Amino acid sequence: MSTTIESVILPQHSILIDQVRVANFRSLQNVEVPLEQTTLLVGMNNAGKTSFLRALHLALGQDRRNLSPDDFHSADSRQNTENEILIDYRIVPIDQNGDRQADFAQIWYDSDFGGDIVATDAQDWEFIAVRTRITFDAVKNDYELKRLLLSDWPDVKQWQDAPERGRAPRRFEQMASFFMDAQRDLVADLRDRSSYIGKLLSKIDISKEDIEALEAQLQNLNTDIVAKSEVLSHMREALGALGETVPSFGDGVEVTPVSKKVRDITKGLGVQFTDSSESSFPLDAQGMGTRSWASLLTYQAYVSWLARQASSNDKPFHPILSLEEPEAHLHPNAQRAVFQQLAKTPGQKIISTHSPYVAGHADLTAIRHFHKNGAATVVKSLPQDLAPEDKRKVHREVMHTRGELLFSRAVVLFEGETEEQALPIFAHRHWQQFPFEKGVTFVGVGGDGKYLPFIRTLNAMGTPWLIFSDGEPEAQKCVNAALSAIGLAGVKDPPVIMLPNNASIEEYLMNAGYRDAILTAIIELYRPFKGTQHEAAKSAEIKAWTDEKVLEFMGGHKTALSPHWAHAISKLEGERSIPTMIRELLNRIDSAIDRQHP
Amino acid sequence: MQPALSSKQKEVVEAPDGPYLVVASAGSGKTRILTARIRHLLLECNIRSRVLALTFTNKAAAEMKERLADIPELGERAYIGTIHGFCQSLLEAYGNLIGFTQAPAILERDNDRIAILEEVFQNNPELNQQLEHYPTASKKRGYLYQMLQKISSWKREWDVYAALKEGDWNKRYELIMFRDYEERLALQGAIEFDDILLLAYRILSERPKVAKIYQRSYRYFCVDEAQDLNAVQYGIIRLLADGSKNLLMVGDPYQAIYGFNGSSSRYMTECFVADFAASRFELRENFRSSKAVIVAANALYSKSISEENIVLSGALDVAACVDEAEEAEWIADHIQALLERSEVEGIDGPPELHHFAVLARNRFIFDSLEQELTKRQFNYHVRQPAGGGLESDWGRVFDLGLRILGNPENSLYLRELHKRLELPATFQFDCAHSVLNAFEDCISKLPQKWAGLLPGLLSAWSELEADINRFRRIMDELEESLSAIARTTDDEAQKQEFARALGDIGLLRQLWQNYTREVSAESRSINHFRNQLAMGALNPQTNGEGITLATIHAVKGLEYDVVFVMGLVEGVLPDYRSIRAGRDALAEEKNDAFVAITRSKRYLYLSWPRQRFMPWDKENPATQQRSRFLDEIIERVGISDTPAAAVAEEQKNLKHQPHG
Repeated sequence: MSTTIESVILPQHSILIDQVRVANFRSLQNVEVPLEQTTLLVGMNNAGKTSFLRALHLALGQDRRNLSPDDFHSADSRQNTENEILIDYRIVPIDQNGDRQADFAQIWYDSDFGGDIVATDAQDWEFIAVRTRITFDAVKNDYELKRLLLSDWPDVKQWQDAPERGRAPRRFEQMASFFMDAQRDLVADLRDRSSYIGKLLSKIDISKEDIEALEAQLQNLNTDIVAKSEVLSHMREALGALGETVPSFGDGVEVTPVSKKVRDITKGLGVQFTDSSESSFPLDAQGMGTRSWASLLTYQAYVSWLARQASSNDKPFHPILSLEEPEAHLHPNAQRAVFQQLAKTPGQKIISTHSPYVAGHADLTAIRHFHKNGAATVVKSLPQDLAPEDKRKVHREVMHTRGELLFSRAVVLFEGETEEQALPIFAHRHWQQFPFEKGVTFVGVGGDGKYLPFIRTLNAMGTPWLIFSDGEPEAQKCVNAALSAIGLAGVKDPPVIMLPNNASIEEYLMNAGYRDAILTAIIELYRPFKGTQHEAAKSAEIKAWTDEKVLEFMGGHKTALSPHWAHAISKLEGERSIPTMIRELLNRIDSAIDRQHP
Repeated sequence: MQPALSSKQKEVVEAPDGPYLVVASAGSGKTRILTARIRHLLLECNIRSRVLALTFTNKAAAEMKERLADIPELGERAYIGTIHGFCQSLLEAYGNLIGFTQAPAILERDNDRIAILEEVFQNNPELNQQLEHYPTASKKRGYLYQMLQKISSWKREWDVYAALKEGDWNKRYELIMFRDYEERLALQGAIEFDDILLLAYRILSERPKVAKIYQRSYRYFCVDEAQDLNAVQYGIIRLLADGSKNLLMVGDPYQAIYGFNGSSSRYMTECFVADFAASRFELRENFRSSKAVIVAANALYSKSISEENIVLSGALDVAACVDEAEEAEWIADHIQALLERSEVEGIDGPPELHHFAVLARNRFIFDSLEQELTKRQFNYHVRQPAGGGLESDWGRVFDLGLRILGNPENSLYLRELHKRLELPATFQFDCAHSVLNAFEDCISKLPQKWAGLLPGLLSAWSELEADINRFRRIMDELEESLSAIARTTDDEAQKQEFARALGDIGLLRQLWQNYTREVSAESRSINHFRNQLAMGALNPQTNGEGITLATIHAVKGLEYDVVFVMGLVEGVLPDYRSIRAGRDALAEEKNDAFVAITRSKRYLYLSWPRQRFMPWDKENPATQQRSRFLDEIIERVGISDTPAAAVAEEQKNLKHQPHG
């Protein structure tokens, strides 16, 4: 299906809504969201992703009936309908690669953009900027919605002062906005004439002659069924008595087990799934995952139908899909599949997701991170200017953490695998919760200590981070290089936990008096023993090792050993269960999270 | 039913893409050809293309739209409107590119402009010296008005305007005056009517990209009545159509009558042809007028209209009357005589009052005729030239309030309000926080006359500011409260004022109704309403009943079955000022006569009074001299203007007409 659509929409018609700015709509007090051809909105629940999708859909021409006083942003819990909701969006021409162009294609001028709708900037690059302004009239208890064209698209700092000019059309005919919320369900859609499949079915295109022929067949079918059924024949006779008393019944009573009209047939349209066995299941019997996915497919069917219509009428077409949680009810593998299928659908897609599987598949530059700062939403993009290698690295790590990075409330960065194994164990001891439950992600940046791409990515998302580093001179150098690159060199209390006395983590633990726990871990590593005697002998031998020998062994078995000593230490009583520096790390994470969500 | 297009007309309508000049004589079906061409372009040439068609009057645009109403999506596919309207929307859309971040308010009244100019003179000693040459207030005013005319004329010539802006001008005081005046306008966020075109021209010339956007939006450009273009208007059209080349101009050099506005048919016949290498079509066939009318028209401009294939013979009659009273009677007699006939050549059914029009060079000529028509109980109306306007003091104050709300930084309006409300000089409006509060503060200082009226106005203004869409209801409320106050007054003058105020409410209601018809609820605003008003876009369409009385300038493009042109004396037509100016001005007076004559489809009556009374002397009439244009007609057609002969001729003509 997607190939059909792709072949219909010619690339030289391409346009893009590349920027959206919203003020005072729900939690969106003042945000700017740059959009790509496919944009992924990620972030915690309630961070404002759905509000953004709704705002955009509203601006693109949906009527105001769905507005409510709650839609006006307020800093406290009281309603604040005195605020004015502003939603600005900008349309720009783009080429096949998605790069902005100077001029809209003539075909757009010939359809929607003719007249003085198109604006031009200081570089003579064309754009169209539309403002939707919504106010609430307390006296009339009603909303007023105005759409205006803007003659400029100023810097984001002054965006609300953008000069307004004449009235904008309510919507551009060839730019259709579609909204699919998380509750989509094909079974419900089939009963709803305003759903995409409902709209499609209402346009069933059968020639008049064919309809007459089909309806004649339906008539015969009805006659046959009634004739062959004693019950129905009887019923018709009984009802026929009506005609004798009520003359207006004319030809008497008809009993029609099947609809007489073709147009009525589509109302009861059913969708059956036949699996490899003989029996077929109606859609109602399918799980929600299938029904949700099927509903998405009907969107694609509808859009490709519209695209074909536009193309055959020599008109351009730019569908914009706002989609909530494509992953709803789906198995991880299906989540990836559905995302890839969506990405191929032409037009612009803005997709909100909680699925690391989906996010992990997206281009990082297409991800917009939503989080709350108090009552207001903050939207951040990932840095667009990472070197390709750094970009790959961050992307790999996002995949490695299965996208958790994008949904984290705080992130701990470190160099080695030792920490990767050990730190989550102490974290669990500290919180009595798995780190992912807490929203904290532990990320190893790799042996070469390249913190910078991660730090910039996390800064861009506004996610708090901490570096946990060895004290060795080489490691210190890496940390300092990263800090000075982001202007944090020499600041008081940098977000860094550095092990004291130039110590590696192993040396630090030994210095901190965890020799016994480490020996227990080493003994664990020799399991299984050939018997209790063997165990006792080996244990005694290890316990007699000098500190140097212990450290040498630890150095040789870093990753194998670290889970063992971490477990051993965490089983100790009281304060000793978490080494001081690691406790400091976890406490600082706690306060970072608290600061974020007071 | 319209007859089929002639082969000549068809050639124009179906011409391939390219620049064309269509020189079309009076009655050759200009509007019809233009609409047929647009229809052809939209439906047959290129079904996706759009057309930009510019006219000089809202009426012409409305008529074109009506004739094309059956074309699907006409509103999206064609912009049909006045040059001014188009330029205003261009300014609204792209004004920011030359520094207008908000749509400026248009200063349309001479009073407002004179007040600004007066400030300019008073604030500059050098200029003030000039003004001091004029001893009385009215002389000063007259001088300032003259200066305004000068400024307007500069603004109609792009080169002159640019020279002034550059400071390249030989009269120093004129330069200072111009610059200070422009500065003051800018300070108040206001522009003049003439500025709309200038600014549009500036945008298009400084930002060619904007012209390009229009060229990509509209594949075809059409200009109606192109003989009336002035330099700036032609410049705008040239820039707009430059890349496209599909520019069609239709006009008739003989009908150029707006030379006093800086327009010239040369822009069409010379500049357009040279700049675009336009091909020229000539349409001389006449589909409107009778033989008699064409003969008279050709007496003024020989062979301007083809005399072949004319179906109707029509009639031409010329009368020299004793005085204006007799002239009025002569006209009324003829109307009566024609009305009594059951059938007149070329008119379907019996003749009715709306088939008649009486034209004159200025509207003061109509006084005696109006009396005569009233005496005989003939229904008539005087076609209003664009403008309208509120008559009562109350109405003007209401209007001022609207202007101030729409444009609070305009100190001029505040000062005028101060004056109109007769506030003491010591009182100052303090608009720092809210204009409406400032109005409220003045209530205690008002003279008795206004003290009773202002509260009603205040609540009306504040309601309008909150929601302009309550306009109609607010008018109802105002009408009710004013009527109530009027019933309690005994003062005759006051009663007159109230009567006029109520009349103004009626007018405002009608203007509002026109506005709501044109503009959707969500785009309405006080400022927009006021600006539309200033553009004349809301003027009531004089769908007046009965006989039409109109100045020649008010009937351009219109036609009537029976036309009387009265007051054909030297000093009136041609106007005494044009006689003094000579040359071009005089040539244009001849065009006026030509336009007046060619408004007629069948019967043409030309008359002049041998003597007229002047307003300052009702005892001794002044002897008049027959118009030089009438001389030409009488001589070339070979007709007499002695009343007896004229009547006899008339009788003879009537006998020849077939009856029944």
